[in-house]
Order: sequence, then structure tokens, then C-alpha cells
Amino acid sequence: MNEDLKARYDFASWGQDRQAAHVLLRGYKPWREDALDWRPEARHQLPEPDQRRLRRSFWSPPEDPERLVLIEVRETPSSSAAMACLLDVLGQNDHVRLPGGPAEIGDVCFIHPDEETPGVFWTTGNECVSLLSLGGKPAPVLEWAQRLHARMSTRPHVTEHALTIEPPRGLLAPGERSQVIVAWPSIETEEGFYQVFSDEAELSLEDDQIRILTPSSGPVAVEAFVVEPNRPTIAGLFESTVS
Amino acid sequence: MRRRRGGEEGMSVGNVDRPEVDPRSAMPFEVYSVEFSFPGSGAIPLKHHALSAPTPPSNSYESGGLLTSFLGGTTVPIPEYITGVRSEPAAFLIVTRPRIRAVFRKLSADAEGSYTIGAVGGFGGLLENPAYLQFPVSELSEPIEFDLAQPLPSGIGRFEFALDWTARGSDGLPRPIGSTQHTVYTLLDRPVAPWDVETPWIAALDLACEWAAGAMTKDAVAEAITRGLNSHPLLRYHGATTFDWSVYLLSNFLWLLDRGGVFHLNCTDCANAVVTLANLLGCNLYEGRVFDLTTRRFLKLAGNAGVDADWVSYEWNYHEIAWLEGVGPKSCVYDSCLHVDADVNDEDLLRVPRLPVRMPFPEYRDLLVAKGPCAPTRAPTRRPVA
Repeated sequence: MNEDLKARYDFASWGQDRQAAHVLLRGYKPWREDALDWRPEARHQLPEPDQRRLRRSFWSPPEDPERLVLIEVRETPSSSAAMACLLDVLGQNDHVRLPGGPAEIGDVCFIHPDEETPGVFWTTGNECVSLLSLGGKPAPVLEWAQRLHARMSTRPHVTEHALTIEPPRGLLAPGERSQVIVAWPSIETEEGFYQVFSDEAELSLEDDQIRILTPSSGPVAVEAFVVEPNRPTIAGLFESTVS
Repeated sequence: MRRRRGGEEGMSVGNVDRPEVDPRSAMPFEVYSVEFSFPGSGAIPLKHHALSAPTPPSNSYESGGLLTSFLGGTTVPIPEYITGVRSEPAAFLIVTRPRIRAVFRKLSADAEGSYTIGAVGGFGGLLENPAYLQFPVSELSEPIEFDLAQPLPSGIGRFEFALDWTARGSDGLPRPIGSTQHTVYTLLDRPVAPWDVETPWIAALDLACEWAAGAMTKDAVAEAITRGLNSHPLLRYHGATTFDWSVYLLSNFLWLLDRGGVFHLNCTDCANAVVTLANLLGCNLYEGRVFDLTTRRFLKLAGNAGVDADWVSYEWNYHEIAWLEGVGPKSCVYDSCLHVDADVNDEDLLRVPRLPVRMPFPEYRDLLVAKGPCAPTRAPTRRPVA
């Protein structure tokens, strides 16, 4: 990775005081209700290097083609990979260094300078997101970014756990990665996605399977959700002890 | 403004007088199909890329459907023309004289026999060819080869033309056997990377041939593509890469042009477009970056040279341009995302916009850079298209 770029963005300080590693998403796509009810004109998906999956979508309001927003969501295996991905994204920007963005957006966030088209670049858990106002008229991308980040990072409230989470084989040990297998149901709507939270364990993806790493002994809980617009959230809970 | 779509426009060729034909009796067969791409024909394979119309999203996260559609597309079916069914385009090098194959369909029982078959129309039509036609159970003849009477033009283009076919039987009188419509693209040379691993896209050819219409040299093509991009009324500059950097999302670029409405892109996107479209027509350009530079004032994309505010200066993380044949301090460059100020006096108000086309890199650096080494990368690329 470009050391000069790292230094310019003070990469070593990213995510130090955040809980980025405790959120994991799979298949996240922006929801229409988070995008001012603008219309998704096109959605595309393609693989990228470093086990990233890129999902791009173009959005515009009805009857106004001069307003256009591009949302790029790069799904990576972990929060640290997402931050490395964000650095790559920033490195593909002509500007030497973008200003920092609002603290309430993402684990780490940067924005386009005022004289530029509005743009926000951030990470939430293992997702690296770019939100660009691409059209001839500016779009309120900061407002969108707040909504998108909130959707990605908010743990849903549920009253029951019907989703099966298969516990790791063997005992959980501090500092060791273990696999938990979630019996994910298929997603019924195009905007549905999977969320995993753990207050104690660091979460990552390996071969599309969830890995947990708990740095110290003690209780650990992993909660998984299937989140879809206008449908009940399905949840599962795994609890154990690291010893 | 919308870019034209294939088939709506194009240069019509060969509106010639039809030969006198005997109206009293029809021939017992007609043209069924015309084929341009077969071994030895010199035709360049083409495809309809995916996402010329965006595919609907998949319901399933694990589904490969979207991915397939992104990297897939449909190759042009062979034969390209079938009467009443389809008329697909073909591509050839300039000044070649394509050979085509035609298949004829029996219309009545006495069709078998000796005929002299030809056509008038675009590019002088087809040279007459004597043939003995037999019609098996399928009622379709074996393919018969014909040569175009004249070579294709000597410049880049997209040409629509018709062929009015006639056949002469034993009485020597020409009788019509059908009229066929075709589209042909002419390229300077066979497509160069990234088109060595990807079949050339028809929509990309439409755009490239529109911008470079009539160009007869590779320099002229590269310049025309650079100017075409720079002068496009929908394009504006911003700092972020819009069409990715590990690949070039040409499909998204084409889609946005078709969609209409202004959109923003950066230098990487511009360099990708120039290299990808110019190389499609046979040029040999590379994408390559320079690093560490603060610019002099330059005229931004879509800027008005007479408006002082449109002359801007940036401190750039990098800048990406198209390079002729390779990246290096002695190479020439094409930069479609700006005009440099050819007036080297920064103190006066005189500004002379100049689009960098085949500009030696040292001159380009002098005109663009106010501060910084502007060091070229050692890793030129031609990004794959998707």
C-alpha cells in the first residue's frame, strides 16, 4: 500500500476509537426509503481484487435527469479491509487529501471539498461506501450518507431469535478465530441484506463464512439478522464463553 | 443530448439506379441470409455488451445472475442477416474488399439450375457470380460467395447500405431476388487491448466511429476521440473516479451517455475512454499516471475559454492521461479532460487553450505543471472493460 498515501491520511489512526470490527454486513444495498425515495436507475455488481465485491447503483429523482447519485458499496472481509479499501478509494481521487467528514457518518469518513461535486466516502464495519453527486445539479449526499450509515450500523430490535446459528466446533479460545455458521434464509426482496453484531468479538468473513475473534476470556454473544424493507426482521443469537 | 443508437443513423452508401428487371416472371428462389463473418472473411467479431439496458437487480445475494450479465453480453449471431428476422452489423478494416456468403431459399419446385447472381447497391454492390443452385429438403441452398465490387472506404466510419439482388437464368434477363440491408464499421487496424481479450462492443463502435468518422490515420483517430470526449456536452470534471479503476466500466459510461443529463468524471475516466475507444479502432494507446503536481491554470472540461473562472488550478494526488505506444518521458500524450494554456506568461490575462493531442510529454509537462516533479508511472495499463 502506498506509504505516502497512508501518511497523508494518517491511516494509522483510523478506527482506533471505534467499534468497527463488531459489525459485519453481507449483501448490503442502499434502500430506496433511505434515498429520499429517488429511483434506483441501475444496479450492477462485480468482483474486485482483495476479495471485494462492488455494488454500484445510480439514483435519480423522477423527472429530473440532471440530479444523479452514484452509490458504490464495496463489501470486504473485515473492517480493517474496509479501511484499506477506503484508502484505495481516496487514492483514486485526484485531490491530494480530502477533508474529514462528519463524525456521525461511519467509522472513518471523508468528504469532497466545498468547490467539488458533493461526495462522501466512509466505512461501516466491513463495508466501504462512496456516495457521489454525479449529475449537473448537486444532491444532498451527507443526508443520504447519514441514513445509509444508520441503516447499516443499527442493531434491529427483535423479540425472538428464530434464526439458527451453529456454534463453533471445539472451545472458543482467546485470540483465536472461530467459525460460526448462520443458516441464512434466502432474501425475498431486492434490498434485503444480512447483519451480524457482537459486542465482544471481532467479526470477519472468510470464504463467505463468519469468523469471530475474541481477544480475552469471558462471555461472548453473536447476533445475526436478516433485514428487509417492510418485512419482519429475522434474528438469531449465539452465546458462549471464551475460556 | 443523447448519443445515437446503433441503426438509427449512419452514413448511407450506394443509392444507385436499380437494373432493369423483367417484371413478367419472378425467380423461383430468393435471398435468405447474408453472412459476413466466416473463416477467411476478415470480419472482426462483434458483440452486444451487457447492460446496454441495465438488468434488473437480483433477489439473491449469492446469485451470479448480475455478474454474468455484467461480463457477458451476446455475440452477433451468424449469419448477420436473415430476411425478415435480423440485420446485425459487421466490422472490417478500411479499404478491404469483403467477401460475403449468401444462402438462397427455394420458392418453387423448379428452382434448381444455373444462374448468374449479383447485386447493386452500397460499395458498388456485388460482383456477379455464376452458380448452380441446389435445394435440399431444407429448401436452402449451400452458401455462395460473393465479392464486394469496390473496397470499403479509407477512413473510419459506420455505413448503412442496401443490396438489391438479381439473378439471371437461361434467358439472361435479370430478375429481382430480394433486397437486403446491412451495417458495416470500418476500422484502421484490428482492435488492440483491452479488445484482445474482449469481443468489440457494438455500442462502443457506434460512439468511437461517430467521434472519429472519416479519420484515416491512427493519429487522426486518437485526436478525434480525444476531441470527441472533451467537447461532449454532458461531461463535467470532478476529482473522484466514476467508472472504477481495477476495470473500466465502459458499460456504465455508455449507459450514462444514452441516459442523457450531465454527469461528472475524472482524469482516469477520461484516459480510459480515450484509450479504450481509440484502441477499438486500431490505435495503440496506454493509460498512465503522473504523480505529484500542482497545475498551472488550465481550462476545465466543458469550460468556456473566455470565462476566467473556468481556468482552474489544482494540487493533484495524480493525473492520468493517454500515452502513445508507451509511458515515458519521451512519449506523446493525449489529455481529453482539459486544455492547457499555451500562453506561457502566467502574469498576463491572455490564455490560449490547447487540447493536448499527440503532445510530447516534456511540452505537456511544461504547459500543465506549475510545481512538482509530475513523474510518470512505470506501469502503463489498458484496463479491462466491463
